[in-house]
Amino acid sequence: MLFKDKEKEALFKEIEKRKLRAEELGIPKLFEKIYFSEIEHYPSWIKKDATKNSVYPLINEAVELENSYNNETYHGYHFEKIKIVLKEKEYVFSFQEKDAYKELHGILEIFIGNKKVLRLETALDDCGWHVFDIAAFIEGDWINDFQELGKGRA
Amino acid sequence: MIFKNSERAELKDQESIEKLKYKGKTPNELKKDFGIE
Repeated sequence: MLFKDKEKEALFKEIEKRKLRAEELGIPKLFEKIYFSEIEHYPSWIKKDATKNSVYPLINEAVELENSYNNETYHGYHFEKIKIVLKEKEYVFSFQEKDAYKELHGILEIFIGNKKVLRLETALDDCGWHVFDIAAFIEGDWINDFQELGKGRA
Repeated sequence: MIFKNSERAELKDQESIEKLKYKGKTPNELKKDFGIE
């Protein structure tokens, strides 16, 4: 289906509104904080006595589904996929690095079942990964779970 | 709907323009990504 200019304009306006809403909810900063300094490490932390207490208490399960660092024959950009169960709800995180002109970029996505609820475009700088665009966002109760997790964390 | 070849070429072109306009996504893909009905 092709869209007329007016329909496209309305759609782009609606998208900008939803991106703004995600910003207001603090989504980019929240996931910069909790994914790269916490969630991506949960599968390893949860297995060891010395670190399992660092895992947020409402995490019931954390499993690494894929990790390119585990594949000795893989020499492309890093990717990882992690499943967590938070307050009895299952979330899958996927992070894929990609080349950008003179920079390393990454795409962080969150899925609930087969439904993608968030896609963040990130770039790596001296301070770590930071979000520079929201490429997909579907508002829902899932946000409350992560806002709760983010409170008082690193 | 049946399209003539010239119309089909024009449609393909418009689709490509639409894709380029918002980071390689079509309006329908964008609607899905942002949960817009």
